[in-house]
Amino acid sequence: MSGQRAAPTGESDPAAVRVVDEYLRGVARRLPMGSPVTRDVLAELRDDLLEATATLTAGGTEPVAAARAAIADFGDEETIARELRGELGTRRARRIGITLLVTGPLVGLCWLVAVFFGTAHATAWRWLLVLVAPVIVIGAAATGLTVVSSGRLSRWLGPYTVMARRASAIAGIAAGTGDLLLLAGCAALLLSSQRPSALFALAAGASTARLVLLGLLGRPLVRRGPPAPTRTA
Amino acid sequence: MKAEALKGHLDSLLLATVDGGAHHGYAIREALRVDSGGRFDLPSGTIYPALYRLERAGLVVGRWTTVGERRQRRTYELTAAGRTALVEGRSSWRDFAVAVSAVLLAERPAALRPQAP
Repeated sequence: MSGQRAAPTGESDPAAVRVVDEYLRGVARRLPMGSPVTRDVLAELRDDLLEATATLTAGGTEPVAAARAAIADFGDEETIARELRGELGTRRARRIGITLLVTGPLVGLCWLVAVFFGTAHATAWRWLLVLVAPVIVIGAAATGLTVVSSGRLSRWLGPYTVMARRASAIAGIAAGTGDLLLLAGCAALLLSSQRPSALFALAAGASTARLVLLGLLGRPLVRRGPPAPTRTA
Repeated sequence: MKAEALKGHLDSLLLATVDGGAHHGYAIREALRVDSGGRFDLPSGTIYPALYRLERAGLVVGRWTTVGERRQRRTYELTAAGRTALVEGRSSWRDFAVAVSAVLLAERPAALRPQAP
């Protein structure tokens, strides 16, 4: 990289730091919180803002004025947050995609074993699997699309970040629907006074765990939050 | 110059700016501004998401380092794939620039110029 480089890093003026942190709290309120990625992004912005402030201070500007000028140069809170939300959403989509890629075969195997080796009403359960099959196919396709369009292959596919986010939503809904249908089948088994085998309990546990995991992964997309970013050594 | 004007070229510009060592977001933004003679003074809202996208695509790698006593800094460097992409980006830009110059700066005979009604 050529060209003039920015100022040396030094101890920041506490008043200037407060101005920067207040600005970042405003950005944070507009971002989905709860993810380490969001915290890292905010910590990165903080360091760069403090560096920009230091550069201006070294040039003779008063620290608080320098912090305000650095912030003005960065852009207003909503603009920065809007640009970051897209990328953070894509990273979240990738995590959902990879989670489904890993858990899908495991949960599926649990249910197949339970249906074929663990019930007296295997025929009815096979029909339920036929019902769930299209959901699984849609979910698998959407999961594949999510992983492909949000990872390294995106360098050839182009920055289809919206596609990744939509595909992950479809994949998550499909996986959740499939899990709920199978859990409903389990509930029906209990209501019909059949005692499900331990294999069913295992499969139901796997589906429940995945539903909880999907809920946790999806939650930061709707939750925005609070305080600011500090990352220290 | 507005960020929209760089659409399609921003990735290559960032790769070229990161080329040659590890740099943090602010330094990358400053380098773009200085190297372009002040023409590319892009908002941070454009730079950071683009860097994250390049990182996801495996073209740059971001690392946390410690500066000063306590501050953590994220710096970016090119990966091998990033270097290849930069070579391709430079070559593609040369072709593009030659073609655009050929059309825009061509001397045309008067007969081919649009006639006023």
